[in-house]
Amino acid sequence: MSAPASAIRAVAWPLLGVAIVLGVWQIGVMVSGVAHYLLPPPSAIARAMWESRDMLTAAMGRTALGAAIGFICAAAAGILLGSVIALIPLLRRSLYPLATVLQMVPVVAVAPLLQLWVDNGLPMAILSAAIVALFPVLAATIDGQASVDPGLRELFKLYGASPLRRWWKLDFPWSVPATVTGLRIAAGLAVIGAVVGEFVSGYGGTRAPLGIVIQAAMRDARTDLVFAAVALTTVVGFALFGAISFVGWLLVSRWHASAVNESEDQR
Amino acid sequence: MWRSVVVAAATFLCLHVGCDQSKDGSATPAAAMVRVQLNWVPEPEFGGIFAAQQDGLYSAAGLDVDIRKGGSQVPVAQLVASGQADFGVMTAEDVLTLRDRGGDLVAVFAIFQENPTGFLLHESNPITTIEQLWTSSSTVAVDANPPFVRLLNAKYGGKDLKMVPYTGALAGFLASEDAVQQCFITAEPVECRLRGVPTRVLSVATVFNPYAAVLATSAASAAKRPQVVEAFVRATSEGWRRYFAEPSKYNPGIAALNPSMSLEAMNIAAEMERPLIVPADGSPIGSMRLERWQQLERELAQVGTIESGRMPSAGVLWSAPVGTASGATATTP
Repeated sequence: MSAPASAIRAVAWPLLGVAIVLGVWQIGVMVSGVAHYLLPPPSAIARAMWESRDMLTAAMGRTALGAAIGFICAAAAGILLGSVIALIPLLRRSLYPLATVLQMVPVVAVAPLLQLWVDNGLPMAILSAAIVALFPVLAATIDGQASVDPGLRELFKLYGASPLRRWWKLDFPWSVPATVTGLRIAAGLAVIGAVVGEFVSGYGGTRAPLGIVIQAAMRDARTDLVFAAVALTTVVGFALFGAISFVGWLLVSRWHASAVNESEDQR
Repeated sequence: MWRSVVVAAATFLCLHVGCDQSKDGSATPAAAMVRVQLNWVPEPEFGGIFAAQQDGLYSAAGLDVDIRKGGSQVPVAQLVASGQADFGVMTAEDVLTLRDRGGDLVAVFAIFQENPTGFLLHESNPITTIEQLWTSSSTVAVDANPPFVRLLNAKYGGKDLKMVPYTGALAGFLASEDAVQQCFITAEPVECRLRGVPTRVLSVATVFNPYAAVLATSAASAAKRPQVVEAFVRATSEGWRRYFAEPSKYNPGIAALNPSMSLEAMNIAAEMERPLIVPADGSPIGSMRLERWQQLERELAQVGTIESGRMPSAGVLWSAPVGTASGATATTP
């Protein structure tokens, strides 16, 4: 199969699935007569999205900024910390369980506390996003670097490579595919974290991000606008996920088995 | 033969008129299930409802009342309009807004005659009026764009104001001398007073004064069970009379359901809320006038919360249908 045809098929099937779900939803609401303030049909959501497009686009930009910066911070901290923890066995034993605790802490519960420590608005969204996005990157980096082929490690030792050189030439490249997987998971979580941060301390009025738009629309019984804003949070998540997937593909597509096998399957 | 006919007829009557067969064989009226959804945790602002519950006024009226606590994120109006709760406590704005969206809510009882919403500031804050606040660059914790914020924006601009979500928590306020937050006049200021934190309250009622903590039900449900509405309103009204006669008798029961507010704070709050709840013109607690709903409708239309011309205030007040005897006991439908 040619590459363009394959790409079209890859997009067509998910779109068909979405179209079926929206069609069933639209007809279901119309037939059942359920009140639109309880469940609006997709057509009403699309209308709300169009009518409030300027406000929603601006809000989406603010949420995307918080999620993206939080994600970048989490990615940098996760890769750096993960590498240090993987390099030093003592740290791995003592800090890894603590990192696991980080994952267990519900950000919804700690968000009001975070509000006491950082400024409202963007800083809070960034911190909240970074907290939830950190663990997947950290865990994936540590696991990736811990699973280096022992034979190759021995080889580096035999040639007298320093630990830092071994990390740069072997451990880090070896862990890239695992870290990319962690980054993909973190991308979606960062958006959730940013919105939770906004729920607690996002600015209102003309500076509102999506989290505040959702709260205000809920208060106004504008369920159509709530759905529209929620749909846009998923767009932000998809955009981050897509960007990371693309970067990951650039990094590993030429050599790693996962990417090579995928292209073999498509052939 | 006759015996089985009588048993069948009795069974039919019990099923359709609403009777319970007690263990000794005597028939007693079954209590009507009533789910009451609050919009906040149990506090003195719901004192009359809890007093009626504690004194058995609801059960005496044939009602089996289940009071459900709420929170800032509970969509009370939608729960009531969709039949998931029989009565709900909400703002008058919520009632008219949902009516504008197609919900068939009717107001049956207004707990607050005066709007108890305000802004809480530290006493050291130089701001002394709402106008000063709205033209300052303060950070204010406030609900996400409610009608009163839109009204204040329309009146004073508020362009430099930084609004962040109001969660009802005091921690953020106590942490900063510059902090300003929305408050329920009888709740947060009392907590601050008991903690020895001097504060100032700016009442929103000076610019926006609709009924607050309104008990509403769905029009369909009220039409189906008018006696239940009548009995519930009557018992709630008596509950408020008893509550204000001796708040300290009922507050321990409320405090047991809400560990975040002390009993002492509840006793103070009960006294503070009295002038906001008891009508100044001598009419009974809970009374409402259509003109105030119409004024609210105009204000909501002015700030774009509802569309003008749809008349969501028409028919908002529930009235007992002709033939519903005053003091009638409730029966199951």
